[in-house]
Amino acid sequence: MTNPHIHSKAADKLCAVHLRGWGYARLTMAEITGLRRRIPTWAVPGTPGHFFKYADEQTILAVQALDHLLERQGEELGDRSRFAVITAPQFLGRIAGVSTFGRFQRGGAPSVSPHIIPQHSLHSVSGAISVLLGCRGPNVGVGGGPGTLDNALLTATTLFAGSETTSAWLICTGWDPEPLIDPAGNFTNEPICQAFALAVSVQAAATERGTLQLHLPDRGKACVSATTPAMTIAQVVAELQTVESRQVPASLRWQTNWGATVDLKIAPHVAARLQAA
Amino acid sequence: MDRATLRATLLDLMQQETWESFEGVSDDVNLRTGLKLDSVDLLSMALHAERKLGISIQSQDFANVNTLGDLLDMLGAKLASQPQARAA
Repeated sequence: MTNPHIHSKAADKLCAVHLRGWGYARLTMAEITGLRRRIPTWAVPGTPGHFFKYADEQTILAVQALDHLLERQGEELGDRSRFAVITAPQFLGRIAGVSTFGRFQRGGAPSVSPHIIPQHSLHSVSGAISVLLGCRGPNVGVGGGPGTLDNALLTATTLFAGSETTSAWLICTGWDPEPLIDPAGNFTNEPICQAFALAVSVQAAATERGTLQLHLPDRGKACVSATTPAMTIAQVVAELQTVESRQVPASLRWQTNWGATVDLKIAPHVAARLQAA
Repeated sequence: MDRATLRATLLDLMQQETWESFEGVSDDVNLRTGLKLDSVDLLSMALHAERKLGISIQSQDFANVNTLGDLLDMLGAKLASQPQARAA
């Protein structure tokens, strides 16, 4: 990425966005299954009832986290379709992949569902959110692996430079613990899928719910370290739960594995409603 | 397989694919705008139909398929041109 301001004070301003709202979700596999037929009330008219039939579990969690955000802050955010969509799934498609590889081995390509490509690939979650909201801005899936959260925040704080888009939905999803699947396709543990959704904007607003800022490393000090302690999606979800239940602000700071520092400040929603985790 | 049986088989496949009930649907309903099937839904159904009906469907076979009736016509022609095809 090249940017003439990247090592200046201007860069810090460039890499800061306002939080206009947030939401989260934590669900078991059984709870996710029960949501496959439920189309959110804010989905564009005409959304088919089978929209989530083949969706990855992380897509459903992303929708639930966004639903949590919209039910409290939706009215304050204006035209939702003008937002960009950034999603950061972690190890998307692992569960569907197990059965897909098994079917392929047994019956070849014709036995594999074509839904595996559009529903379980990196951009699947952002595409689904964009379709549901009728978004006209860009939508992109980022990360996908262990550093997915850092990739998501980097994208959210830099997407707007030179863009007409001023706001974005940033949604991170992942399992914690990751599903353990035996050769027969059964779970041998009880995985929990987790997600958080942030409405981020370069424009300040009276209804601000925090800030997200990326402090870039000085030139020459950037590093790639596999040993840097990483913030996880589950940790952010836990912090959001705490903010909601205690109605106190939270401040998270961590270093990315390439040397930047992330500052995430979260303020409680007014009259926040407790959501069963 | 007569058209009525083919129609019932196809609607059953579509209901399994979409969770929707297609009772009373007419042949002139548009697959995309009327039944809300996207291209991947149609591809998935084509794969199911191939297995169920013992026929081979190519992507170009869908070139003139817009309505349920068009789809029935196409599948009926496929079945008629493959007398060895068996219903699974």
